[in-house]
Amino acid sequence: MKLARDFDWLLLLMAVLLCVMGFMLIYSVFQVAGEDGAEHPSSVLFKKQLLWFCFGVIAMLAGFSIHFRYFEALAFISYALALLLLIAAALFNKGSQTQRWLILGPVQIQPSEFAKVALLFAWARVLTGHKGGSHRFHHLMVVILLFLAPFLLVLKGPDLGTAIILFVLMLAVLYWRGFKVLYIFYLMSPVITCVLIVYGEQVIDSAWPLGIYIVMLFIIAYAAYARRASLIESIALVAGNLAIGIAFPAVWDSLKQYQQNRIMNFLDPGSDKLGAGWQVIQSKIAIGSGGIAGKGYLEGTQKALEFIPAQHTDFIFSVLGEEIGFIGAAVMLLLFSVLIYRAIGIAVKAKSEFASTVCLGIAVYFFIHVFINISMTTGMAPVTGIPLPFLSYGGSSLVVSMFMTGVLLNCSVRWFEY
Amino acid sequence: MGKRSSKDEQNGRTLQKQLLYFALGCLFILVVRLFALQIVQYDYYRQYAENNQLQRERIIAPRGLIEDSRGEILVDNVPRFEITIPWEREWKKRNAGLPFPVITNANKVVISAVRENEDLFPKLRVVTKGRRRYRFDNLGAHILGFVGQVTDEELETASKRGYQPGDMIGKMGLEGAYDEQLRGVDGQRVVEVNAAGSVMGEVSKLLTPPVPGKTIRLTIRADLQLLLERLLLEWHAGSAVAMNVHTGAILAAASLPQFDPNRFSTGIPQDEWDEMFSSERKPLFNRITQASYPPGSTMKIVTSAAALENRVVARDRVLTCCTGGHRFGNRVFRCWKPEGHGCMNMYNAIVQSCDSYFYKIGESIDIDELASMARSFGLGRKTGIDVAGETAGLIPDRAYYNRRYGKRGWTQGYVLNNVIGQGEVLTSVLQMCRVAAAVANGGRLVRPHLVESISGEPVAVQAPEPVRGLTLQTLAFLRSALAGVVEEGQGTAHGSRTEKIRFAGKTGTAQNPHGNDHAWFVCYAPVELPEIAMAIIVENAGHGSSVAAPIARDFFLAYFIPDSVETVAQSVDREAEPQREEGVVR
Repeated sequence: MKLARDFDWLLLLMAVLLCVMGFMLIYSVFQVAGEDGAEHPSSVLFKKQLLWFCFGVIAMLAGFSIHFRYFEALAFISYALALLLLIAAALFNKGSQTQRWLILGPVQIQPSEFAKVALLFAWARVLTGHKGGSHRFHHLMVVILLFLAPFLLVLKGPDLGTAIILFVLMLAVLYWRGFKVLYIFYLMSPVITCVLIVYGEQVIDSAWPLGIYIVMLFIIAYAAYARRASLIESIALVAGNLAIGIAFPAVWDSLKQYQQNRIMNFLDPGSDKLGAGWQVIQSKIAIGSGGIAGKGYLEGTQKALEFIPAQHTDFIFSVLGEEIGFIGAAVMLLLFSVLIYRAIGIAVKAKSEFASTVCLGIAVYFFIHVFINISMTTGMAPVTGIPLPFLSYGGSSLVVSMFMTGVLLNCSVRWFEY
Repeated sequence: MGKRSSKDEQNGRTLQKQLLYFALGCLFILVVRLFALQIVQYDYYRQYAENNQLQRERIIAPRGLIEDSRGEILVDNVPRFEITIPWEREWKKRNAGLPFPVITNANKVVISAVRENEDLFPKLRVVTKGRRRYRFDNLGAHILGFVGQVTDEELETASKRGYQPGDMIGKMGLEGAYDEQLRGVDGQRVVEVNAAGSVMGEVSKLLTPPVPGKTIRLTIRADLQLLLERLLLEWHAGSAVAMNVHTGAILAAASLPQFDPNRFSTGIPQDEWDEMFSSERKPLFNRITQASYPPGSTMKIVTSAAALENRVVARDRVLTCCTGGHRFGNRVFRCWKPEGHGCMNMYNAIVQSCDSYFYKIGESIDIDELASMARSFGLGRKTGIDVAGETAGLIPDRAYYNRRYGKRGWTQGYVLNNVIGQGEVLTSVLQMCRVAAAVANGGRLVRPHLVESISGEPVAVQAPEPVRGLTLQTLAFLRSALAGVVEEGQGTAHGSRTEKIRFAGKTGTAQNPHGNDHAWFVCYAPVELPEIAMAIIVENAGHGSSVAAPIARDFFLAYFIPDSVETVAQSVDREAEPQREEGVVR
């Protein structure tokens, strides 16, 4: 049977292994917390996660069996739905700290996770199906417009991590659809200028990152000019950034103190030493003390002390690092690598522009989550609340990851269709 | 539905290669990082995991200072030593590893006993903390308030601001009202603790220094405050307040009996606490803002204004001749002077405080006209002073009596009581001080306040509101009449007159069903260009003229004749004596 021949068994295997790994780790975390009672709250949480897994299986089946053409057709509707969920979460949780959650009776969902999928579909829809290529200016504008609403809602959350991921996903999709890296950079450069000004002045009290960036701007402008880009474009790039650089401090000063603080918290989450800094140090101790082979499954000691509040969610990797060590971490990275490699392979192979774009987006989704999460738990990146796909406790992330796996399998068996 | 062109697919292969290289690079970074953590630095981290623990310690921010308007520090912090023991693990989840204080104010004997016997008490720790010190003990205690351990009820809201069980929180007065500003922001220190529980060192990277609380500068002047308290101290109970007539800045505010807020700073023993609360003298009761008294004859300032503005009586008309009482219906309302004042116009009636004259006004004035003028003067509502727990007093109007007694259940006779500040009328000392200030400053109702600036930033004070319905002619008349109270030979406060400073005021003697009358004096000085207004009440002391007015005179003398202030300032300095050091063992 044709379907069976092209079915990517290896990809499915990777996803299943990662899920199993996730459940083992979550069990390990809860096993400690739950030792003093049969119906400890944490055992309820574990059952909850199992229930979410069942939903995940359904989502995966749906993602696999429904032809991707329907996803293409429903792209904007799913986008609108995701946006509604985000707005609802922002409205219902007005004033509270947890705007990233939408509580619907007994279940809590994280609308931003669903927004990631919906955005991928919407972008792919906009950027494909045009004769003579899609790297037109107005396509780019639509893509950015689609991006802005969820981006700002997520940013207001405040959830800088997810906002960054949305941005990276957009760059990846544009890049895959043949937009010049240079244009993408033009778009980003004013934002980078502003961020570097604030960062240099408020966080590290030094202007050299901005200085390097300005030198880099000149080099890029010159290189672009040398490679037959128009002179006006290059001059506009430099002049535009300089103008923003000059105007920005005045705008910054006009902001209220609390507004400035809010932006600062985005740029420098490490300033929250009482919370995040402590988490990272404990996570590093857990991972580092794991050594090559780890302390053994269920034998971790750091988790028992409950030093890490988010250990079953964003910091699940610290349990892995402690209990099965460097080898376990390497195996996990290998599983993800194979998954991502196969996903990119499907993106290359697929005949449909839409399927190809979506699969590439999914590959980048997995990649960026893994990279940021592990960087965060090993103290290389600020703590921004990014889950590890398949492994972290949390329903929304698991369901979305499994759904995406289903879509990948979908495109792998229907690679020749369009 | 787009089919990919061959060019697109070729492009895809190039991009795929670029992406894979990029991903491989990132993967490499992660692997190197993990290698560094788990293999190169393995021993370092294992040692942390097995032997040493990192513990978070909160650094409680030093509470802000409180100083008087000249920079004299009234409240500061001194170190105290606390002996703590860590929570058991089951508690730990809920209390974030908080150490539990066993002894809150340990003395040298206890500290050395703990330090020298570490093997016996391995878990006990000596922690240095701040103790709130009120440098002049009783001075301004009701204004300053005190700090105490945060209660469970308070924690429900205070925990959002970072309060934890066992913390000290501002409870009353300014300590309570400005707790947010005084408190500062706690810091955190992370220390390495070995298996035996001793601190090995500090992780300096994770040090978050505390932000000290803000310094609050008061409008109070310590020397004047001390003087006022001393002047009042002759008596059993009462209160007095002096404020700037133009700004509402309070210069001194005394409440008797006093208490020593230092007693609360280290946790007060239960029996002492009970005694303070159950004591009949109610030392914790702030008689400046929380107590309401019948204003007695001081109410006649308001009554006169209401009568003139509503044309109940012409200013110069001789309304009645006092024979020591006034018959209304089948009841005789008595004047305080049994032999009678003779024939009176309004000026003389105020100067001599003739009740009969005002009873006559009471016959014809509408109760709502009186109540409305009283409200214009700020009576019957809170003054908005910046400490909590203020009383609004009570100004009865028609609606109030109808509600209370029914439409036919009361008569104009009730108004006859109200016009001389008896009956249901209740005011606070602070409210009456504001009435005097309004007369003195040209008819503006100031907002009384105690805080001048917070960490050098001036506190915005609401602009004064005009006393509605009060004309300048009436005001000028009131001022001349109040000056006459002191300066006329027949004036009720004539005995307190002094050559050195001209002041104006109104005496009052409020009947008190529970005992002797309360003595009132409401006044301002100097008469020509008023600067300070005062209100004084001495409980159960008799006539305002003989008891309360001399206090005002002495205060004015000290304020306006600098020589006498100097001696007070010196005596304040003498008061600064070393604090007690004995420990309180719980």
